Amino acid sequence: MNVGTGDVRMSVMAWRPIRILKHPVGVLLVMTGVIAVAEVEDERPDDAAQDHWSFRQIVRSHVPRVAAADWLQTPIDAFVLSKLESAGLRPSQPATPRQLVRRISYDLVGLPPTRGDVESFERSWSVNRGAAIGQLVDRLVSSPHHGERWGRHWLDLARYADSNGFEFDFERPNAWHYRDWVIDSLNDDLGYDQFLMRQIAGDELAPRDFGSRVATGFCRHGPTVGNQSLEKNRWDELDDVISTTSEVFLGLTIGCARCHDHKYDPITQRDYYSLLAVFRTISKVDEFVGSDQQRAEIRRLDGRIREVRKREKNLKRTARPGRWSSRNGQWHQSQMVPNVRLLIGESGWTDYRVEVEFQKTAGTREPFNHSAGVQVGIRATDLKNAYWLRLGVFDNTEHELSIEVNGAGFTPLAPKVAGDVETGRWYRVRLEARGNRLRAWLDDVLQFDLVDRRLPAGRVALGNWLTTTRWRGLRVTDLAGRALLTGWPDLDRAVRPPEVTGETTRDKLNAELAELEELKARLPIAMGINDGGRREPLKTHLFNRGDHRHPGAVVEPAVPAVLAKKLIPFPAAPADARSTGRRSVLAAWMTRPDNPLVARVMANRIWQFHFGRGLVETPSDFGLNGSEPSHPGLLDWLAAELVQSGWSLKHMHRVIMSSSVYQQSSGSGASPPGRLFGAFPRRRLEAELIRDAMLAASGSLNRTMHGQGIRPRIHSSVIATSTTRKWPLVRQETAEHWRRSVYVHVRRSVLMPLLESFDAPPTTESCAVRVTTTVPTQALQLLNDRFANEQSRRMANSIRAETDRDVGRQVVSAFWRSLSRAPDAAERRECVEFVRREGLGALCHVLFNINEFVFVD
Amino acid sequence: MTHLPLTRREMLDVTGIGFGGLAMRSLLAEDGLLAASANPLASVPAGVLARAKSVIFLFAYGGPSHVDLFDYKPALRKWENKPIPVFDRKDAFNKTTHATAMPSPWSFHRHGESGLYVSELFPELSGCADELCMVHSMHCESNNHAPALFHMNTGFLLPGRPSMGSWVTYGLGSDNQSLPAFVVMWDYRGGPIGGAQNWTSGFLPAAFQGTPFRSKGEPIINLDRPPGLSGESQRARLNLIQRLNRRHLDQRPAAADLEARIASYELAYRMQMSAPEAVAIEGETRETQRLYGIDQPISSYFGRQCLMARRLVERGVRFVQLYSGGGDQQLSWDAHSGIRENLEQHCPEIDRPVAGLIKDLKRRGLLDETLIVWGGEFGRMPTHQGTAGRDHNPRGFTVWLAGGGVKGGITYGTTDDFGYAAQENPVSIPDLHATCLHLLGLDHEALTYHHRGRDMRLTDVSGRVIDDILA
Repeated sequence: MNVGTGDVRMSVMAWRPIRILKHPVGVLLVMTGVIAVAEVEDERPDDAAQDHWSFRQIVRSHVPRVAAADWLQTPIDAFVLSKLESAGLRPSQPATPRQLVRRISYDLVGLPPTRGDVESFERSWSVNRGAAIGQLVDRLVSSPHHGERWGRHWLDLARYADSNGFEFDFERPNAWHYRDWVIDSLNDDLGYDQFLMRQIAGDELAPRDFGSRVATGFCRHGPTVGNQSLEKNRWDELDDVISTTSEVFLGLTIGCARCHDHKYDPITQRDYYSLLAVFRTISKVDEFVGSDQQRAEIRRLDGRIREVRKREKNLKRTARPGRWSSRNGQWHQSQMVPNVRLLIGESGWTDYRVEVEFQKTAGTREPFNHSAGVQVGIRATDLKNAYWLRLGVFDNTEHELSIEVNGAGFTPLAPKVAGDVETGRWYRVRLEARGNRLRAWLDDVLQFDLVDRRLPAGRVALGNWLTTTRWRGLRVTDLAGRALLTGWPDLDRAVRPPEVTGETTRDKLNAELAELEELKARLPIAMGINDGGRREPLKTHLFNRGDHRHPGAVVEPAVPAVLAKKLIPFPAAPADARSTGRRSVLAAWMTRPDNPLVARVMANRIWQFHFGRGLVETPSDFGLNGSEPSHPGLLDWLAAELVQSGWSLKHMHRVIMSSSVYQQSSGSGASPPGRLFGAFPRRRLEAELIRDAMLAASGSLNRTMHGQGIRPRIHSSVIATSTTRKWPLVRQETAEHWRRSVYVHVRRSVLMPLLESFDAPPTTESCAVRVTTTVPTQALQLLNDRFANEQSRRMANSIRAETDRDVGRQVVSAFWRSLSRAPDAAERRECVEFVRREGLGALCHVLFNINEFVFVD
Repeated sequence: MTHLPLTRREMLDVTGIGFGGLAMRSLLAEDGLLAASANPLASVPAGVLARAKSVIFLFAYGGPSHVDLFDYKPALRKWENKPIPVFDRKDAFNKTTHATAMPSPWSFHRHGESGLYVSELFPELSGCADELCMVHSMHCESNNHAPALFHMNTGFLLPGRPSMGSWVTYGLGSDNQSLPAFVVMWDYRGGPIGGAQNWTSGFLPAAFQGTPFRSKGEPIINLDRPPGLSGESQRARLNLIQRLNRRHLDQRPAAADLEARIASYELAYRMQMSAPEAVAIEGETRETQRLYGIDQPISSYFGRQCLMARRLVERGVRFVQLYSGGGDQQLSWDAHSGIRENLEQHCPEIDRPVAGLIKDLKRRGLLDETLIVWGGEFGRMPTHQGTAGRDHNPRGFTVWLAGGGVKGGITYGTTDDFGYAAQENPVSIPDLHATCLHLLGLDHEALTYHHRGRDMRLTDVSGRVIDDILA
């Protein structure tokens, strides 16, 4: 799973030198030569709205004077305290060291501190508070888990997913490189300016750098319709790109101006189409970025994957004769292959009853194999059309009554019923066809009773797939009970499919396919965008009322007029260019120090992720309709600090976390923290962190980084109702599933219920703020779902393995693992008594459910 | 235009205390044990003009054929096998669709005092004609299943917007805190295309999304205790959870978020009892079960679901959506290859159950406060596809409503003589949505949620309440 990392890391290193190519006045080297971003004098029309706070230049604010100066640790504190003082309020008490270490750990790495972490922090705290916090923050921002934690924030904004969405929800097999690129970039403290530029124009800036190419995936993570090539979809996709780009980086809801001028902001419809002109030429590419040798390898693998897929499809579809023998009045079928069947009796049989007993003698052990079972058919017109009672479908968990038409798969006629087929047990099956009515019994219990008109007559059929079977007691009678068959029919008279040559098994093919896919996934294929090799941009028209069927005037690329005092030219690309260069110009303009929005928006997001709420509470809308900053001076101070630090996010974490504001206690709750930040806002953990914290507490957490997404267990009925059913059926989770939740494969049609119910974003669009809901289904999830119960048991086992049988010590260990503290005397007494009655696993389960576990002070 | 004192959002804005404050009030009223809660599903007092309290949306997935079921078009007989002048190839979904009229193989009769036409395919439902309000002039903007479904459910062709059920529960909360506010049940042959995107809460908080109920086994996933855990042991765990929570809360007094979570555990515990009870139709009399067609194999499945729907709204669930038809082509109402085979399968599946639902609600006095909506994502062509099928038709189709403050025994709007396109009083999907919200006492222009720089609405920038059908 850990493959490809080397490449990604190398490429992260490789971007560094590019930064120095950026000339102070905005001259940018791109791959094809030099594009000059010169400034052209041009008086822009003055607009009252241009005076909106977020459009003004960022000026590093003066630090205000305050009365209680001894509270100050950083300039941040002065801004906050000054507002509190003018409201007649005081900040809260400092948080305890134990609260701080837990808060900082969840904040920076998303995992709870261990007992060792807490105790060592408390020791250094008692010596020097400031130094203790500084060391802790330094240690945690250097942890590889830091990128996993903060990367998830960014993935929300980037509406990241591993599939297309919509009804077919096709896979995006190379999307995960972007997730890893984000994690690595944050761990490497890639400057935010570079982080931004790579995502908009990485292909132009460094076309041969894998990481930069992957970064442009930002422009592709939105949902896309796979099955239609309607022109409208193309414009909707581009709308997603520019809406997301402008919301995420600029905090502007430019999407609102697609059909008409923005209702609130000074963004015209022309601004929208000018920005569209920047992205108009992009194409989606999954391009290989690597050596020629690797390229040849990809071609070879693709060819083999196609071939195996074809073989697998044929294998499933092709009916087989199997290997039957007749012994002691039984038939034995001894070949474990897909789709074995034979037909007995007369094709003219209409209304009749068939009874037979079977035993499964062996079945495939291949997990995730949705098909290994036994089937009995009625009214089989030929080898490709019949009603089938299929036992043990969906990985031997359900039975169904299906119709098979022209050998093109089985269609259930009624809801499936739960049930499996055990090995070595005799089962009795009865099937009856009476007019349109079909009934089926298993061990004399009626399973199905339904009506279908399609197949009026046919033979009896026996079959199995990926199992070996024995059969006995076959009786076929008419509805009056008269025998239609006498004794066992002769095997030679049964109708059987022709022998299939070149035999293989589906298990073997699946294994082969998985191996090939895995090999391919290791190769650097960047899912991203480029301009399709075009130097000449495609023309962009303004669409009247946003309707592409009504094109208006041709529009040239430009940045929103209200944001640029001077016209930003988009020069033609050099003659030998293979890209229009427009996105590079846009990215360079965005990261100029005089861009009023980019630094403010990002500084606000950093604040928001530390405190749970931004200084501007609409982090992706800094327009006139967005919220005003609670502390405008502080926001500008932070924005200036961000730019001055070389856009270092880690620097910003250190600055913010060393403030007294951050180190306050979360207050009593009597006076809610509110927008003045007179207390630290207590927060419920995000969905991913709840799962990760359980894994950490139980000792199951697998800290492997990077690579293709994991697919943990999802309740089979969620998979079954997901329309695409594209999620493996996991019977038993193992260490490979117990990686951090940021690595969970994001399939838009099958979001993981545990994450979804705790407010993980739906990925249909950029998510700037996660809403926190509290509903009973979340409680049901933690109380009754297998995951929480299984991890509780594992936690108990792990505690027992490392402590002796002293229940008191076990309770202490359970508290440390889940809550990062020891129980007090009363808790300890109560929990010891509880463990004696209900067991240690029950206590661990309780601890996963309590408020203290999921809330951080 | 204002029917409500305040929309939910306005109320939140005015009070300035968010969900917590709203919920605190209603939960205090409902349950003295709970001091405060941030439960977003707390019931919101309905507006004075609310006629309906809840909605049962019977979704005939696949595109039911209005010209064979409700919209009687004798002209098709006259034009049989002749190209009809209104046909436009661009409207068709399939290449094999012809311009030639295909009359309905079934006869239509007038029923009840109102004399509404209903096809002979619905012998039971015909008996309820005087309760039905037929909107014959529906039209929509896509002739493809997935976008049309999203359109009907969310008002938008693209997925990701909140569904009508989510908007309604956002606006009104729920009257039963032990059950989900918005319940979805689908056909045994499978869910509709797009799955959960049809009952998503979109950008609204996740609490407002539809909860799928299963017809067998535990109705909600994770409702049952884990295997091997006794009820006493679970209660013991819950007791310890809540004791530790109380202690934690004591050090953080009046923290509404913590209190809400404490309350949610009690609610979950209650839901474990209430949800199985709510769907336990075995306790209903044989007569009631027969009324819903549960005794007949063909109608037993949908009958059970309709009966569950009645039990759910009876218990205060706000919005129930049932899908009939699942999977491709003939497994749903998507009669491309043969109209006869398709409707002879699907009509008997729902005829008794739907009629039973109307009659049962009526005799229990619940029909007036329950809005029933029946319809699909579009209708079907009055012309041939191949020799015996009908293609999708977004230009004109029928949706009917019953109960919940609509006039019974009336038709509204028409299609042309062929049933091809809406003609008189066309009704768009936002119009239908606006009308449904209106019946629930919600003003579709005021029910908004601020998102991506705009106050978003179910009806976006259009929608008109159809005043003529209001009782």
